[in-house]
Amino acid sequence: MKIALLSDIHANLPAFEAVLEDLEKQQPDAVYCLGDLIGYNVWPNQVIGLVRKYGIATIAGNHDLKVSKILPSAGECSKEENSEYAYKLVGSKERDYLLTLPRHLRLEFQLNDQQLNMLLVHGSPRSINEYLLQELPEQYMLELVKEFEADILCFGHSHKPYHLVINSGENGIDHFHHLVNTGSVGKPKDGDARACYVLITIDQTAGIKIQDAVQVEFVRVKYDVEKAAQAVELSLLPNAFADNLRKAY
Amino acid sequence: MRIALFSDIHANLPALEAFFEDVETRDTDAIYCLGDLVGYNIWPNEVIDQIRKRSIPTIAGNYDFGIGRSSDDCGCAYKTDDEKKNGKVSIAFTNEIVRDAQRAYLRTLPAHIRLDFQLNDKPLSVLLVHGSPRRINEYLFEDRDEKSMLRIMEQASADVILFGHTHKPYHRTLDSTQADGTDHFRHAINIGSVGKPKDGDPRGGYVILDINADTSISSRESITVEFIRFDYDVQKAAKAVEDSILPDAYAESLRLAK
Repeated sequence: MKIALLSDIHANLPAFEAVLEDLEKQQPDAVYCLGDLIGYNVWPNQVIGLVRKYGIATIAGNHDLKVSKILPSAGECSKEENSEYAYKLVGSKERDYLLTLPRHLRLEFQLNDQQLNMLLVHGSPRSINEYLLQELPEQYMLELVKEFEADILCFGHSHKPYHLVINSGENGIDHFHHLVNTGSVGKPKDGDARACYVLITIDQTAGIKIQDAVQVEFVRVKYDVEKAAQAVELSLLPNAFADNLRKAY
Repeated sequence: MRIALFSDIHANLPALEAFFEDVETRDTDAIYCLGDLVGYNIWPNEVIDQIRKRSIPTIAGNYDFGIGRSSDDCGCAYKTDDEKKNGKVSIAFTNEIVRDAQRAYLRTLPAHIRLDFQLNDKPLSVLLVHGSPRRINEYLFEDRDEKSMLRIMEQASADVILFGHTHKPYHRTLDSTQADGTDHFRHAINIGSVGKPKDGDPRGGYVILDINADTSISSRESITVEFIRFDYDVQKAAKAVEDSILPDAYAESLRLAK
């Protein structure tokens, strides 16, 4: 089966709409979202509206939880440039939705009399805020996937996509683990300004001993970056966020 | 959040279409399917296509497990000789008409989905299975001994389990209070059947689970489970059975919900 994973949309409606359009073509069997629907742009409620409309199974990201502390101003409207504006925009129903999202989602496959666990988290299984960067020592990653019994560990948060395969097997018996950073739909930081998401194909031979039975494909989608960047500039959000979008850093 | 869960469609396309129409009006945040897409009626491919088209997270039921592997055994607990004979016709027919791409989909469905919540800094684990956490075709009926039910949930580290398979919906709250007196309530929820109810009500059935910011294992009433029934064209589904080589008994089951 073909599973699409999206993450870090960050209130970027044009990017999310472009990805939804692309998904229509790709026709995945299931779609999951790894959190951070909001922050950095002006369309948090519209993004949440679409995620709910499509019934996309979603877990919480660190930005989604910020709405528990940052509330809309009760008094006069703010006129100062402030990154908190992105969270103040979130409606009350949308806040309730964000604050009751699950933290982790686990899919347990039993395709060949053998368990294959796919764990979806935002940052890392240990912390919603932890960055699992590609440069981390392999030993650290091995301990992590063993501790959380994850054969396929999927996460976002750093906005830098990668797929790493590590082997925890002993005595000549392979046990492959896949680490997949989904990249970011609405705020890529890898120098490529296009939206990014992932397609994972699970073959019927899939198990922990066959590396290639889990295929990972990164999809990049063109969208109206200017529209998203100008929306930032026209708002009370810091203009630096617009530059981030144009240059993907 | 409001999560819709449906199950046991059993190739009943009119019921599935009516379900989609109904759930659209209910303002839900996510939808999961707990398996048994096929068997007992004439639309297995169409049902699979409708669920795939919407990219609904779905787990395998025992019938899906059998058809996915081109097996002649669906793992169903038929009692009488008639049931066994009819069951053979149904699985042979389903194996014959299910196409390759649809079979490959069934073959690679996950067995379980777990949602780990953290509300008020306390964990709450929700487990979705078809039959039971131990076996895809174990029947968890409402009258199961409380101790046995609790043991199954404890072994699976699940505070809430949702399952189908028996086609008889119920919600049971179990007191799992610890030896030191710490309150702990667990919930076992059978979500009923969209396409083959067996509780005397021929309408399709599904569940909406409501988890809010105050939901906690230490509070008995803090999750809400809504059992929804919706009308669909039962005659169309029953007639389709009668016009096929499937045993007429399956049409009768749909009309009487038995």
